[in-house]
Amino acid sequence: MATFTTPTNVRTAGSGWYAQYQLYNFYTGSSSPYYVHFKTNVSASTEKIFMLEAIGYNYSSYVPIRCAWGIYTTGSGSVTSKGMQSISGLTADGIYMSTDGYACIRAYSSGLYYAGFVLNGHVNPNYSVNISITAASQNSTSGNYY
Amino acid sequence: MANISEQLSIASGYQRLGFYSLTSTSAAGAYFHFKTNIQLSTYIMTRVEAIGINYAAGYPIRCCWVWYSYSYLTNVGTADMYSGLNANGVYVSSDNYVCFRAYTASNNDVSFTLNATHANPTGAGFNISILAASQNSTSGSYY
Repeated sequence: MATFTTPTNVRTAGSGWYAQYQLYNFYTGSSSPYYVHFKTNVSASTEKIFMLEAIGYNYSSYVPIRCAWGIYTTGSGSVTSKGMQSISGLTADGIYMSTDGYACIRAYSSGLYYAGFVLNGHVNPNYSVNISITAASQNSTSGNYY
Repeated sequence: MANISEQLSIASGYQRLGFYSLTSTSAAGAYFHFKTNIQLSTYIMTRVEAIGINYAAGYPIRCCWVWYSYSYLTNVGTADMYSGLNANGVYVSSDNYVCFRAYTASNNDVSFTLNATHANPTGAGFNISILAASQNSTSGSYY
């Protein structure tokens, strides 16, 4: 078996960058505060369509984590939610634009003690973008943080 | 585009995609048992997910097991996102390795790969492997 052991993220080939694995790894030893915010490098001034998915393990509640945010940056200075879904372990709680114009997401859990997850990205190749997470914060802000 | 013509596992630090694959070609039993390389007292928080298709049942497969290998097995959870396979349980083998079990009543031509995520504070980036796997009719502990 061939095995890639690169400790960085893995992206599918081609200009579309469909799947982008392990954009970010978040883990915490603190149960609270209950919100986690992530700021992306995707500017609202560019038209992009992508999905971010959290995959991991919420140790404190004994459940796997899987939830997703559908994001559309309009290209005209706004960020729109294209749906959020949460299977278990963590809630995809919000999508917003930072004060400096970048797409951000917010996650929520009533207990994050020793929780850990990665963020994977899936991009519409017609609106391709090479996603990265430029900032992350666990805090008590239920609205916009960045 | 690069094409890789052999079985591929992608290990990107915290995720291991396709680290094991299984295909059943006969109805050898309704349970699938997997013995991991994780022993108790290794303090590793693990998530394993099966993804594939159950031809006989006519359903896709996506189900998940989580656990923590403390001095005993704890914080165990399972979840079934699709109907093709049931994440049926997690147990400890007679020689102290963590094992997990899947179930489907329709078990002919079941195929799936296993992905693992080790993203928690304890055991992050662990290189999981399957030491043994068996399709049989044991509904409890097999290893």
